[in-house]
Amino acid sequence: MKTNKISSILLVSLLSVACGPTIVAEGTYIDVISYFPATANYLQSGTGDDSRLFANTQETLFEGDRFGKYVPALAETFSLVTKGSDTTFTVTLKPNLVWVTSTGEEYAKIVAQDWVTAAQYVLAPNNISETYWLYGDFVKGAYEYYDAMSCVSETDPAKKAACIEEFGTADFSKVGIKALDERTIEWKLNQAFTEDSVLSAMSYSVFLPVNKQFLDEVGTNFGTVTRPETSLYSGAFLIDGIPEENVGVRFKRNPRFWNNQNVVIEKLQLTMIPNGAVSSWVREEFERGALSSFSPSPNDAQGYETYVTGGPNGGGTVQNPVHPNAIPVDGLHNVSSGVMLFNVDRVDSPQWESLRNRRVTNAITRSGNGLIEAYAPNGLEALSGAERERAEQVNAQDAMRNKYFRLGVMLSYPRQLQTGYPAAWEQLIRNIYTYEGLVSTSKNVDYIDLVETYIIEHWDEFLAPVEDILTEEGIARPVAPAKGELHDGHDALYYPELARAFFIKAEEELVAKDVVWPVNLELAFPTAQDSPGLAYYEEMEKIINGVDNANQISPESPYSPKEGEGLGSYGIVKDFVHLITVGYLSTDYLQISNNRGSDIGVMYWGPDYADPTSFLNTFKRDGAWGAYMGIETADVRAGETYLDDTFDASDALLAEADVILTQASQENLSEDERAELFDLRLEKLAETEAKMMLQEGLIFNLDTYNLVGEVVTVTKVIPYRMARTGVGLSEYDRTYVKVQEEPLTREEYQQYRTQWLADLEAQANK
Amino acid sequence: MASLFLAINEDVGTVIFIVALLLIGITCRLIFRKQFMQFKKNHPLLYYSLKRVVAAIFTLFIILTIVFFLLRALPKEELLNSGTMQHLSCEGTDPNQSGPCGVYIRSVYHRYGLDQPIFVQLWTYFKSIIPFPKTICTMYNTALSDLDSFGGPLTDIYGNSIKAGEIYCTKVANGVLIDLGQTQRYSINSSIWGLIIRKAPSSFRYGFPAAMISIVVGIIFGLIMARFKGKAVDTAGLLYINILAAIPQIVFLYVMTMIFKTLRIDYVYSIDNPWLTLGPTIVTMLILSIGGEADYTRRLAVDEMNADYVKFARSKGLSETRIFFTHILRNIAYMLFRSIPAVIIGALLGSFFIESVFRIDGIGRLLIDAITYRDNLLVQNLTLVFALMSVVSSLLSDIFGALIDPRVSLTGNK
Repeated sequence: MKTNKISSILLVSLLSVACGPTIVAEGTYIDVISYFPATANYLQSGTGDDSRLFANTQETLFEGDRFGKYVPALAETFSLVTKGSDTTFTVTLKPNLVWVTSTGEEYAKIVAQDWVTAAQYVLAPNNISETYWLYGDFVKGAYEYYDAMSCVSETDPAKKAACIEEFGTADFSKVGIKALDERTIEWKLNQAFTEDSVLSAMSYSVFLPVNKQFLDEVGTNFGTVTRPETSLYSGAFLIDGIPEENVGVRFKRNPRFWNNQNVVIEKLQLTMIPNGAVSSWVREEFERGALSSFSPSPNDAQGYETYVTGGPNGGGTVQNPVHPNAIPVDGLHNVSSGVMLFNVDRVDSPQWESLRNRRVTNAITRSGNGLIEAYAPNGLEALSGAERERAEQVNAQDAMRNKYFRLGVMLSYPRQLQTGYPAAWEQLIRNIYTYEGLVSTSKNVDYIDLVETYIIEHWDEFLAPVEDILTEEGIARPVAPAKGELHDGHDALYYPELARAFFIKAEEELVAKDVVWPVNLELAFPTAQDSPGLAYYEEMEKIINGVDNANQISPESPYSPKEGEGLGSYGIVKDFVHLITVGYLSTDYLQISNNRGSDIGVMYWGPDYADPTSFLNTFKRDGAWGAYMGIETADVRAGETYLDDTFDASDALLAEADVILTQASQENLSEDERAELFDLRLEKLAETEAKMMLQEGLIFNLDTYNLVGEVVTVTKVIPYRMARTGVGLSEYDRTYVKVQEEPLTREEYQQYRTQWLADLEAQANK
Repeated sequence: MASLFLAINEDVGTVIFIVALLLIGITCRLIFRKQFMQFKKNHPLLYYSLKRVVAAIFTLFIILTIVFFLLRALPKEELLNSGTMQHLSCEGTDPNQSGPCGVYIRSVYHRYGLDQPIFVQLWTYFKSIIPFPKTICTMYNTALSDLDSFGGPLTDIYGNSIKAGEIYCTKVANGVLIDLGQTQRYSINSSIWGLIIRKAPSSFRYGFPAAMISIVVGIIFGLIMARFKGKAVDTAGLLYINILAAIPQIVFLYVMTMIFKTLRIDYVYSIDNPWLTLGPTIVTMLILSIGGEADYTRRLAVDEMNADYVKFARSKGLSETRIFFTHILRNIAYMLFRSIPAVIIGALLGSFFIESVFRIDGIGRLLIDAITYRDNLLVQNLTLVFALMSVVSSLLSDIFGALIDPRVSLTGNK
């Protein structure tokens, strides 16, 4: 699932976890939002902005707990059984669950049929559900029904007949959902799934129920935010009063919520950040008691000095801030990963040609008017203008279709410079596509450790294609990253000398393609005219493209050479690649990015359910990255296929993992046998991930939005009570929130942390 | 008459209605030419006002048409959800194609009223705002199966059969004159009229007291400056006016918020304490608007001070104070007070900057938000409301002026 970086950075930095000893049992928790929720129709919308609302007004079947596990919520019991090729997921509801109106009165019982009604609603294309595909990914017959339903509204008889011939007649009885009785729902799933995958998917809004009678009463006005009476409530809170678009949404407690004993706060509030609010706004609001927590930002100099640094001589750091209430947060790893992708089918359109003329000028290769003045010499000097630019792009595409070229770019890329402001340069880097804590093996080994182990153990295999070149060129054989170095926060894959070897390998393979060197690669990025980030991109160009002497290197650069190193890693790969970083104003950048208007693109991906395949399915030929890289369009245009070996390899590896999963899900296995197979599957997925990264150069990982462990928070909210799972609605659910009157001190925070770690251990030993 | 048109066909009826109105107007103008001239002579202001109303209606339609086409010039592909398009592999799909991609794209365009040919869309919009009785659908439902709750075939209100998955009308309202409809992307499905009704009082709560106080205080300041033209008080006033005029409004607002912060005064609207921030907001608005009002008053008064009748009064030996209050003030009063209706209506429409900075959930921000969210119908209808308000305030100013100025007559009788 692609995510919006800007809003997430803002919100993640504003949100936080918790607070202290004197608990106010009837407190108010006030959260900050940047966008007013557009709708409370949870079957239609799946955006984070809207989820902040309905995560609190609706209750899912399963929810994340404070240890990162999925536990029943509306569900009482469940079973996941595979017999042959059939996988059945059955859920029994808790007794006495009720729908409540906006005034807190009971409307009806929540029954199994409500999930069937919701499925009918979601799978009707006219309802434009943005997340119906999650239903289709899991539930048997859902995609087929959705496709066939598209023929219903066809008015032209000939088109209708053709549509039915292609997609068949819609028959809901073939969709794998059934209400067995008032409290039992049965889903037939597409394939074998792990328990975590299914339970986490069930914590998304698309798997929420809806009452048929109510839906008939309110019609398509269902879930209008400013009309709370158009929603029914099953969650911890009800919308209180009429939400004001410019101000926010208030909630009051749902008196009939099944889990009311765990709801501590009396009121919940989502407050809009005013337009044009300055950086100090959240701090000031917190200080006057209008917010429950905030994160001091370097952009708010006064606040940062007060809470973090203590001024020029204060000596405070993010790890050891000066203010007793400033706490370096040890929270969740951010689940979204930023990756760099190669665009193998770049075709600029006149639609954004005007945008290219508006690009922000700064970097060394550009003239004062913002246009690229002179590319590095590469044999295309005879051409000029658009002809030259197009020739550059074709040249780059030929190179990018070669995996060794891609690996060369990846291993020489100065990622620290792209990950944000200097304080976070290193901390934000993410080396492995999936995130820590996603899933673990039966022996409690985190999945990313499997990937890391595979990379370390197969390091020689990754170097094999360039072994000869390393020897011939006299390049010292690079050692594998150490254990733990591939976790977030280490610039562990920066090997410019090794990159040079891969470029030489690519050069050998690309002789037939007449690729001219160095290859110009354009990277677009969002910026403002006066952004300090422009300087980092300029530095990035210097590292790749080279400098004449060390004076041209910024001493603050994390890549600046050490004593006696000469120019360090600056210019080591300049004979092969010439990086052109092009800044665009944010709105222009969105268009450029969405239309693949540069050679390298940055995309963010967050999981849809708790399983590595939620990330790794993007590696499939028909997956998200293939489309973004232009594989399909390139195929059609050129009448040939690209990156076949890469996608064949990833499809084959993922298919192998599926086979293991099907074996593991059979009901006749012992628990140990099943666990062993599940672990084997995770190892296969880890292998896939490692190979796609270091053997095929399909993607290279860049960063995460925010590594929470390196952020300071000031908060009144007690930590370690809310869900610690990265997917589904649970992360926005404020059921378990407790707020104290005074901001938490670091000591208090540590006490809660110690207690939580003890509970976690006890939980693991159960 | 109207029901007769409706019985024929709503579209045809509306067209006939408009054409009939035009014909009646033109015919009356030709047949009763003499009476018209007499009316113009006897009731010049009323005639002038009526003429302006007719001209305003035409202007309004031209403005709405331009806004309509400008909104349609934006690429509508941006309205499609990229995630859904990706999962359906819909990139580059023709919306008219059958199958899930075509249906998805058409459904999105239908939701935003963009699925019909552009002139049909324009006519549909005009039909909704032309005050002619019409039947509108007030509720739609999605058919979850082919059968109704009694097990029979599902039909819409006209008896047409409905298939599972289709969206159909389940409730209608007859004889509706104007239908502003519902929001499409901003606070989805909110009634547009409801939004205006809900937000206008918020703007008014701040805008009206500020406007009234600024008129009174501004006029007094302006008169004092004019009376003591060239003296210290005038110079100081002009300095204040010029400084305010030179500083961009947003900068001024930023400075004000800094002052409030320093003085620890709550200025951002809070749900729990909606009246607490009234003072700072009104003070800010006053400081902003008093200068303009004072400047306007001063200029009128200074102009009058050089008029022949003032020179004549002065030559007769009347005191400056008497000249000022007895002659000048009486002559400029009409110009000063005729702006009051416009100010009151302006207060209803709010200010974008003020409402953004002070987080007032008023109507001033609504138009900007509507544009940001690309809610076409909301933008069109707010344009309509703003333009109508402008026409009404202009008319009211004329009438108000006629009431307070003995030189202006509604009847033409001297």
